[in-house]
Amino acid sequence: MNKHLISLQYSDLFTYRELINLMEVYKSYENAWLKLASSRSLFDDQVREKKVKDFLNKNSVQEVVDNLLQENIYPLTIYDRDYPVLLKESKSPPLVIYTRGNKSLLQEDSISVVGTRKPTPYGRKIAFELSAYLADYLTIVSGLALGIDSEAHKGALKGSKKTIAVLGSGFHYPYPPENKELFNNIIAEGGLILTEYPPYIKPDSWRFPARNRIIAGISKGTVVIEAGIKSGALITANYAMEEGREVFAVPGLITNTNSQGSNRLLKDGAHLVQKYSDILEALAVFHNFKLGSTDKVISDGQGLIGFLDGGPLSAEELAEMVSEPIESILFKLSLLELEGKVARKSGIFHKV
Amino acid sequence: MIAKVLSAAIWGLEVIPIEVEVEVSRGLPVFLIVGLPDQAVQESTERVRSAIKCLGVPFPSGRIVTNMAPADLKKKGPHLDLAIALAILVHEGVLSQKQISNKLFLGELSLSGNLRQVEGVLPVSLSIDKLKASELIVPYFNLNEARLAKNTISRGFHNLKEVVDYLRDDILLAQDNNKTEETITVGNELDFEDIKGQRLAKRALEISSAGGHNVLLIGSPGSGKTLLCRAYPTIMPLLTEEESLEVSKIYSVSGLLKKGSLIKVPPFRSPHHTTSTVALIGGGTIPKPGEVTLAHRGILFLDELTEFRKDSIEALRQPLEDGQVTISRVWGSLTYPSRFTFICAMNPCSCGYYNDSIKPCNCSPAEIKKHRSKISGPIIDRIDINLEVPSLNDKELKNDNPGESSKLIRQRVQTAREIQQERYKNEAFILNSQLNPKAIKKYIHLSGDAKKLLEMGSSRLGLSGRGYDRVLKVATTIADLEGSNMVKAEHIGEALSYRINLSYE
Repeated sequence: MNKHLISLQYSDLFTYRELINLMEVYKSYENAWLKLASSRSLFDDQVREKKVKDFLNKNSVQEVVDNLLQENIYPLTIYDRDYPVLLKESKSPPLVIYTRGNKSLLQEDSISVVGTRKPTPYGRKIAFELSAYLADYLTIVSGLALGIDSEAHKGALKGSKKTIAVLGSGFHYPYPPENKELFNNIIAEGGLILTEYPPYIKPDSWRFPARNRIIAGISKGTVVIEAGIKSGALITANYAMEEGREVFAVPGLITNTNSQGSNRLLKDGAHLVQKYSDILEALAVFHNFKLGSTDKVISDGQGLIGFLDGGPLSAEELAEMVSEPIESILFKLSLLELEGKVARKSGIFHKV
Repeated sequence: MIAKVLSAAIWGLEVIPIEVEVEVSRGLPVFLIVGLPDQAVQESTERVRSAIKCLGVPFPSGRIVTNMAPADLKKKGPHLDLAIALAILVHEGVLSQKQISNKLFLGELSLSGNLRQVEGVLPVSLSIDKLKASELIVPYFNLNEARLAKNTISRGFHNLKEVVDYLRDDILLAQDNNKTEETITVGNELDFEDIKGQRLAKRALEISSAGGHNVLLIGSPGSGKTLLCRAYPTIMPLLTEEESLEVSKIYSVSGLLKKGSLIKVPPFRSPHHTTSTVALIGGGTIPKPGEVTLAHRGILFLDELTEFRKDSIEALRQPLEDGQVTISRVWGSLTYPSRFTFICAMNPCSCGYYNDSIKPCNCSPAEIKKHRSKISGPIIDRIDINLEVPSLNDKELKNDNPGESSKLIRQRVQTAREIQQERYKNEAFILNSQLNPKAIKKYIHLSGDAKKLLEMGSSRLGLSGRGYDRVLKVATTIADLEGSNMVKAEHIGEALSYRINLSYE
């Protein structure tokens, strides 16, 4: 944990660019902290200079971090191992994120589900059901806003409870206040709340688009359900496209103004969501199918394929060759078949 | 005076009390039977007349009317002979009404008065209390069968004279001992360990036996399909007492319970492919049980499935789905149980060698298509385990490694069945194959990976809703065989492999 970076970011006295420059100039944030505290006239602006000096002299890095931890807020810097990999790869990843809840979700594949704050009943229903379905495979990321965002979180909580809410404000001021209960539920039921802003930052309209870049950046893909032509959800979709992530849109009525943005995404080449499993297909979650720790078997069927190089064989012949019970051979062949690596014809397996 | 004697008629598997009444009045000598008798009952007049003469009792002259109540039920079979003869004897004063009260009589008479074996003794014996009788009198040859019902007092006699002696003077036969012999007949010499190779098919049949799943085997001639299926009964657990009575009753009604011992081994029925639909499903003027009912709690094996008449195969839909078959005729409708495991085998094409690794197939694509289209989708839909059995190559034929013995497999099956019985103790069904969608939700627990794999399988392979459930059911049985209380990915993976694409590609 880079306490100096956390503290510098926590002060909110430096812009994103400046923090990066500090690293480049002083090689480490600890070094930067010492230099800033000791040297004179680093800033043109006298008022700012005084503010920085005051902050650096009054606070110790340990105190800043301890206070955060005391509030159950766990800060992560971009240099930490726990920092989500996809977010790190995105264009302007936050240097520090503040989290509360189940941190393990940051290591899992996720998908963001976003849309208008004023959805139709249809939009609400789809957001809820789609998230409940996808939550079995992926973590659902959204922005805790009213409308589609809320339904997405609720749907995920109904399913496997894997959900991440990204705030556009600090932990002391979760926005919108109507979703206070949902905010608490997400933490209580094993979800995670995440923000790049220190706890005392109040919501501000310009912070929400910036928040959207985190939503897009952390996810493998973004699903837009009902977005108007100027909806913030389109900003998220844009970020996702720029990062080269998959964008999905749920088609809506052309007479519905709140579907114009999402329909336009479709026109521009987003994936059309015809059924929920389309998303899993496109994200190739299936390709990455790995058996977790719950089932202690070796799922690796790669070895079997080698035997098929010499020509097609029956399951029985394979079982004989590798001296394994027939049932485990069948299981491995099923997996290989699903992965499209072998094909079956009249009980004989061929390598594809 | 009008004499009354109690007997019984079988209607389906149900027993209905019959009261035989005889009245003799003055008039031209004639012997009439009323109360919807069939030909066999009608003809009993001659047998009864001769039998009574042989007893040394003069046959009454005059107009004899025999009535069988209830009058609206069609009576069939010769088992009412004894009751009619006794009713006449009571009327003639040879016996008193008191001597025959509370007793129920079944038996066919020969002209000399000997009692011959009859059908349907076991159901009557089992429901003697309902018939308001306390003692059952049957031909001696049926005595063992009658005594399978432990709480019934049964007596067996060789001829009419012995019956009369017993009723009048309480003389019992010397060899009468109220004991039944318990014999378990496992009349199958074929053992799984004698069948070479075929580990895949053996495994599939083990799963089928454990969960009661229907199986279709497709393979070239000589690949061992028939042999395997014929050995199937050896890996099935013996019937429970309740099941055993249920099955024995059916066999008794059909006149197939010859030895007079309970059927303990699950029945194995393998009708030839020329069999008619009626023989398969049951029927006749008064419907008799068909093969599906005779296979109840056991196996119905249709070898060369494609050679069966199409309408015969299609007629299996209802019995397969409901576990019972309802046959309607002019006289009314009858329902017989038919909860069997359906095992069938077929060739992949009409010459039999399509996709065979050893011999070439000389069928045209159209022929193959036609051959396969003989089995309709709805039937395939009811089969949980589909399997293609590749023919054995030389190496496997020479392999002398014995496989597992049937006994060993049966023990595993038994254990898996006990797990199911415990799990479904509050339900009407007992096996995984009988799970309905609601019960699947309630009882089947998937691990996370299993869920993922199933989801992946269903979207990749385009499983139908029914297909999805089928995989779940088979996977549950596989889990039960392993003693795992949760269905894991490897179980789903294996279950996914027991499916088949019948369309010609």
